[in-house]
Amino acid sequence: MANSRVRAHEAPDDAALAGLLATRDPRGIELLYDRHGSAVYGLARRVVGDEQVAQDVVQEVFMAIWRGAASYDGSRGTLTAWLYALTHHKSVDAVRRAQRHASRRAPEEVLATHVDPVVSVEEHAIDAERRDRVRAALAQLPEPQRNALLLAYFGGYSQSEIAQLTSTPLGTVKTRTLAALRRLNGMLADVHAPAATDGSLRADGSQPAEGEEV
Amino acid sequence: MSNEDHESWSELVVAHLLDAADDADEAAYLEHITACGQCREFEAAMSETLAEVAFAVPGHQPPAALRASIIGAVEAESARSVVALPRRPVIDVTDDALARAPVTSTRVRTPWLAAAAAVIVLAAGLVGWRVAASESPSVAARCARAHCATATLSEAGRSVGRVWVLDSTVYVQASGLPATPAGRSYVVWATATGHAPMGVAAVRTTPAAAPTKAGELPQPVALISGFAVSVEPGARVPAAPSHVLAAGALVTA
Repeated sequence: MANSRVRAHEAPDDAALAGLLATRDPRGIELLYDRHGSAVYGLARRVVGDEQVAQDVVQEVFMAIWRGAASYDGSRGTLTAWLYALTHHKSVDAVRRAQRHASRRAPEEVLATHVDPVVSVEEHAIDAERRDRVRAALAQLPEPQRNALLLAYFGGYSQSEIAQLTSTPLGTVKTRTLAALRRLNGMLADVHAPAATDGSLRADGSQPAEGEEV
Repeated sequence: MSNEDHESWSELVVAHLLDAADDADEAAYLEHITACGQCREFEAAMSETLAEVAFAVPGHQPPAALRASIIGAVEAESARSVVALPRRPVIDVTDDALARAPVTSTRVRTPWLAAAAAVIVLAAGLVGWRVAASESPSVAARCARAHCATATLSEAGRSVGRVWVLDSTVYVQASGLPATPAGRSYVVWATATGHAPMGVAAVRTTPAAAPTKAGELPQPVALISGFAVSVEPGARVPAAPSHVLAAGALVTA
């Protein structure tokens, strides 16, 4: 089940935060920010490539969470997933606005994401562990799949743009992206979520063959 | 694409989660997702995985001023929300009452009551598309001055309309769609991450109609990711879109 993907030591916090936010308690935002602020800011910075714009994105994200928490639909994902999905969406929106002003980040820069050695000194050890685990999983993806996913996620490129950038048919980009996310789901679930084997995480019931590349 | 072809639907779900879907794919996704529990479950699971991908990049401590700004804004909104509010008027939203009353009679002036107006539109359905046409010529100009959010509605890669959000009011123009078929209406939907599509209003229009007011946003604009238009039987906003004609992402100027 989706909720089981949240690591066990975090789940109670997530639920408590959602409860505070649902009752319009400002402490909910304060706690959410203290727990996720640096990671959200890190993601926004990476996607938009500009500190000031990233700060604007972070402000928009937390205000959106605050204003929308009462109607948040937990069946469509955890609070954490919603937070990062909003961060991604608003970052991509900012990137596409920047695109209109011809200041978008180059694909090569985007694809360096998973090997970027920069680590901030203030980063918490548990986040570093989490980052290492995700990067290791990304590194195991076939390169075409990884590139399709990273260009979309960290570059804000649409699948049509990725098809053009990589001289690949659009259908192949779609297939690669789906395959990449499924594999990541499997790899990350193996580490943290026993429920990953219950089949609910694979909507079509299929399991890509080991080493399969699309 | 058949409902049984879940490999293709899964591709659309992932494209949607990545904000990478083309307009036609986004429209197909919106139409499908509300009716497919399997895809909603898949979407929830994949959203958790994508949240993990965010951790591939190092976190960065934001400036202390940003935390203060966010907490200050939240506390200010929280304080405003506990101020005593005027008693909500009782409004008859039956079909008969709406048929008797001009559409403008349901308009409200205060932000708090704007939510009530949205409920009226959602519950009672059809907005006279041309009733407010007199205020439409200035919509694009007002929006340009206010740097408001807009969405281009596309169908199979072809632009067929546009949505403007001025304050919390949604204006729509559907110059590329045929006149609303008899006995049916076009329903405007707002989409937001973590939410099912939210009906804004049922409208009737013609290709020549000017942009005009459709209704109030069901959520703050900061939450809205895009808009879609579906065609529905009758004159009501259903719980979910049955046939999405066009969709587009909301872009802030």
